[in-house]
Amino acid sequence: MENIFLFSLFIDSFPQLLSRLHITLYIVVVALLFGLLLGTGIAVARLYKVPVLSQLAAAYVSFIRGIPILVLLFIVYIGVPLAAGAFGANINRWDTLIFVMITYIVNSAAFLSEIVRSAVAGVEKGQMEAALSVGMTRWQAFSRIIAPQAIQIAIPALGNTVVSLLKDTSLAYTLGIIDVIGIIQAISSNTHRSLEAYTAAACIFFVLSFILERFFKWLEKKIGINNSIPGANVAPNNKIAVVGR
Amino acid sequence: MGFQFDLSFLIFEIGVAIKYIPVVLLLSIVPLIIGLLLGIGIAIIRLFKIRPFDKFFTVFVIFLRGVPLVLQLTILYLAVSLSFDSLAKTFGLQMSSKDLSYTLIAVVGLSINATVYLSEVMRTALQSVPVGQYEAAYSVGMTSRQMLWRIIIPQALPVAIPLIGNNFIGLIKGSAIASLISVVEIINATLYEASGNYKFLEAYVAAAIIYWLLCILVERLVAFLEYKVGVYGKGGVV
Amino acid sequence: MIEIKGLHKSFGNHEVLKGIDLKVEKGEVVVILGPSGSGKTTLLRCLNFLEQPDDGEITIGNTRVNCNHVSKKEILEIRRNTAMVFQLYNLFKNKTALENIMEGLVIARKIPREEAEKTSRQILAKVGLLEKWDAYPSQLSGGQQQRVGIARALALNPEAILFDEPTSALDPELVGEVLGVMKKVAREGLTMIVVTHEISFARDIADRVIFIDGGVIVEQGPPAEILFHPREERTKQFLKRILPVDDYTI
Repeated sequence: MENIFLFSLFIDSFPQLLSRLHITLYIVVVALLFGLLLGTGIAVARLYKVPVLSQLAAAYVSFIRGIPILVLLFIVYIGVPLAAGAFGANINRWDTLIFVMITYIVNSAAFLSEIVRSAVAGVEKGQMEAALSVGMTRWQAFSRIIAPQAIQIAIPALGNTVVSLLKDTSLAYTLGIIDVIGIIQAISSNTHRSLEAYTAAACIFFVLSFILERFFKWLEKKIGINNSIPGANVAPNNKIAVVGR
Repeated sequence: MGFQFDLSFLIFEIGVAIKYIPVVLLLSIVPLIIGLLLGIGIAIIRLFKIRPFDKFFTVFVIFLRGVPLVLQLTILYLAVSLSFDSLAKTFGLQMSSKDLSYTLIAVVGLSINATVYLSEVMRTALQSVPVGQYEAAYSVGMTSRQMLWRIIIPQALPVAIPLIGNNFIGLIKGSAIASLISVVEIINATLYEASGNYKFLEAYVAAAIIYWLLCILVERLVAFLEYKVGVYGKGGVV
Repeated sequence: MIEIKGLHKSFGNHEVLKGIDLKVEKGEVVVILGPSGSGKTTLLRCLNFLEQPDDGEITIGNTRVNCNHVSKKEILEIRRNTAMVFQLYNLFKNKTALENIMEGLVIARKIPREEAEKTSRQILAKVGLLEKWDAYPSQLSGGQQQRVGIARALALNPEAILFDEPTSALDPELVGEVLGVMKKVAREGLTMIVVTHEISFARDIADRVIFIDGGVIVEQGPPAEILFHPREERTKQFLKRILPVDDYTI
């Protein structure tokens, strides 16, 4: 059994893997924040049917959601410097992490825009009408009545997306990023054994995902839709549930 | 300097990618079917609290849900290879792990992954059927089997179909990760063709286009299925 | 006080309002009756521009607008002079009952918070729901929600309150409590334009009943006249369907 899985090696991997955890978290946070910004902009373009922009946005969302992240990573890594070169800019020496960030921002923006779109559309039409009839401007109605309710609606799907984003970052190592998984190559080069380290990495990801899920469940209880109508069925927001791998 | 992109090579690569669509389908459809069958079983076991399995499967699902696919495949691949070699050594067999089919390992790994997610989909779908339906079914004297087949599952289907569709798309994209354990699929095939002229961007773009088309097809298919199954929903349940 | 001249509205090819002329005096309670599809709800929603009329002139208080070239500013002005009570209540789901009433005052009418809160509490008490001031709409029954909706409209002190089938979505035993509040409001001299099926309200409280069918006003007059001695054939047909047989005399 020892030549398959050495438990001591498994335990010993943890400190080394955890030392690179900050890279993983860094990618998640940056991708989430900028992805939310970009995604909201895309959602607005589509919700307000801005000519040209909304069609471009729809194509963007469809394409990004339809390709594997692995492929996107390399397209960005090779393609962006090439495209910049066409404009005369030389960005070949930029840190690889930047291209990785761009990839995950672009990816999460596509999924987040759908969540925002669906959440805003999910607020009852009557809310806007009531707000307008009371004399609010569209902006007041949106910021005080629509947006807060949209955020409440979006929380479950948002939680799913964040957890998926965390798991998706596991592919960053293919571009050479030394994160929790990237470091395993370095560790196992002299021992020629990597199964233990990979299993340790799996445990770390599980714990992180678990914590995130719990957090979002708590968040949902705290500010989610207060559905105290007995016997009502809330149909799952099924167009949006994203299953990340 | 100009943006150098070889359109004709891209088209060639698209042709290469198309040839490997069957591999992608193998890596996604088989896990989908296995995942549906096993997933529904696990969902039922967990929902109806069938001991002693329900606790095991609950832990199983919760743990694996938090592990990225690339780790699942890598760990499976390493565990199988090492065990294989170890067994071969113990019994003095001539085989080695190099004889293992990477594709088979990938299919098994993707199937396990699919089972985990689809069991959650089934759980959600079954839970979305109002409790009253179960009660009514029991009260007219149906067995659990009859109830599930005739009443519950038909009502759970409209809820499940979009989610299953999402998962199918996820499996198609997940099959790309199999390239990391040396499975010969679209990415590896297009990269191989570009290893001579170093036009890797065209290779990846070609792969992207094919994946995108496959996903769009699946989305259309799911929309069609939603329409067909949606007949129940119009009855105004809730 | 409120005057409508030549109001036209079409949805696509379908003309719903075919030229409405109407005048409502201050303090009048007007009930609009009509079969579904007659345009009565559309008429109401045109008054506060939730629907954009195609043609006509609308005067509310001191504001007169030409529906062909109405500016955003004018629409806002009209909306700040009117208030609406909706069939589906449309209470702000993310605000408590008290906050629902205050919201329009503070944000749209720019009244200071303390004053708004005081006024809101008074009006909430008037509709009999002061103890529910911190409840969210999801925690209230339909009748309670609608009463808060009426309170929200009252607090804005509008030129007129527009009621869009206020009791149609309520369970029968809750209709009474809402009608009771509406009667109270009417007795205080507020101008009310009410689209409803509740004949008892029309009979007991309305100053004028208007019968609309096919996008035009068929006839109008005091309730005793319209409900019990209608002149037009269409009115008679409609009333035959919805009035209990005893109430109907030729």
